[in-house]
Amino acid sequence: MEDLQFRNQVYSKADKLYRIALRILGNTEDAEDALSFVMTKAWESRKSLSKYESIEAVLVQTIKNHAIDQLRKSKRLREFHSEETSIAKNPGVFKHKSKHEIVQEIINQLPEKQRIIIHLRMVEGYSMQQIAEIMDEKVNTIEANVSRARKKIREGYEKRYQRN
Amino acid sequence: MKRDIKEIRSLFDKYLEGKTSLGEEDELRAFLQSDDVPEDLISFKKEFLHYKEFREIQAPEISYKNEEVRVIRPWWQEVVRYAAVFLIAVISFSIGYFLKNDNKDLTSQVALLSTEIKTLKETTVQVLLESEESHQKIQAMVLATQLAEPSDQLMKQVTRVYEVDSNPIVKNVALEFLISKKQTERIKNLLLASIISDDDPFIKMEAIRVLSEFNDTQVNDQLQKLLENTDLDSIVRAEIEKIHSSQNLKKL
Repeated sequence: MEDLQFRNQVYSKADKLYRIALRILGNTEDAEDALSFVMTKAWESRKSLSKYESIEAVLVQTIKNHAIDQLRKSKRLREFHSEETSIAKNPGVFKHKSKHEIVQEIINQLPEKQRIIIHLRMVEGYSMQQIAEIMDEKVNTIEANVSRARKKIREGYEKRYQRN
Repeated sequence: MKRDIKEIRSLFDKYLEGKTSLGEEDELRAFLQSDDVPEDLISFKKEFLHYKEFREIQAPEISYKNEEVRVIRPWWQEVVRYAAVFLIAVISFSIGYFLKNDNKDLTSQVALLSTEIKTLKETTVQVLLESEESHQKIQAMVLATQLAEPSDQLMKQVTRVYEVDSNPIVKNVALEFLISKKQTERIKNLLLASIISDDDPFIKMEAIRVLSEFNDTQVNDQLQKLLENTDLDSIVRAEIEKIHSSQNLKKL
């Protein structure tokens, strides 16, 4: 893959990849590191990238796996040091409470898989089939997870709204 | 073909089951952008607004030089980094100065140093507030909360951010900052103006909610006056009426 092709096919996906990392990791610095990691990996293997049917799917899968890996590592570290979470430490995106922050908090409490699936569907606009390929799951499983996540968001919002 | 509310409701049921197509979700998105969303569907509106807000987030710049891919950190991070280096240099110099001068007039030197640090912090905040990026403005206001006595110029700058910024998160952070610094009169005027001039009914509702917490007769009268405006959003009108009826109940 030539430099120009790389820019067109990989660089153009940077926003999407960054948002996915941000959704999983919850803070801008870690998301930037994850993006940097994936971009470097993609650049190093640019000669073999063209063989994939969908470069975007490969990139999304890579950043998803890397971010999950990083999150688990940092969770282990936090447990070891008993520190506050990185989300609470970083005010950049998630710390502040706003109307939408209630939704953000509810989404943060979803199981990891549902959180990623709902992001891929509702923010990045992927089809159920594409999400199934990225997550390496069956379409039925994805639909069931989307449904569970949407119901939890609705119920969570209603509960908090009534409480307030 | 435009769907009626009954069809929209059944589409939301389908949405909750995870069975809607991307096209149908676009229809729901368009429906939720209107001002007449029934109250029982407001949670969907909030949910979709959150997704919209997230979709607008952009990655930092990436450079490709000499076979190397590098994510360029936002410029404000560089500003903060240089500010930190400068602070360390000032502190180191001052410690050296104190030691050399046998702690003469220590109190005045400490006072001078504190003023320098405060000025530096405030300048950093002011530079960040001028940014066009929402997260930089938020970062600035979080930094500003650490200032014990922010200058009036900074207060005005944050007030201006609330007035002109369209991002509700930025607005809320600005408001919280002003509340934390007890700028009561400034907040009252700002929120009353926001109810009239803001485009987003949810920002107006938040303004009404905060204003109602002041329990100020003058503010309540001005809110009551707004009800005379026939162009007032129905959702905003309902919120003012709700607050007034609860206040009347309290009086009883």
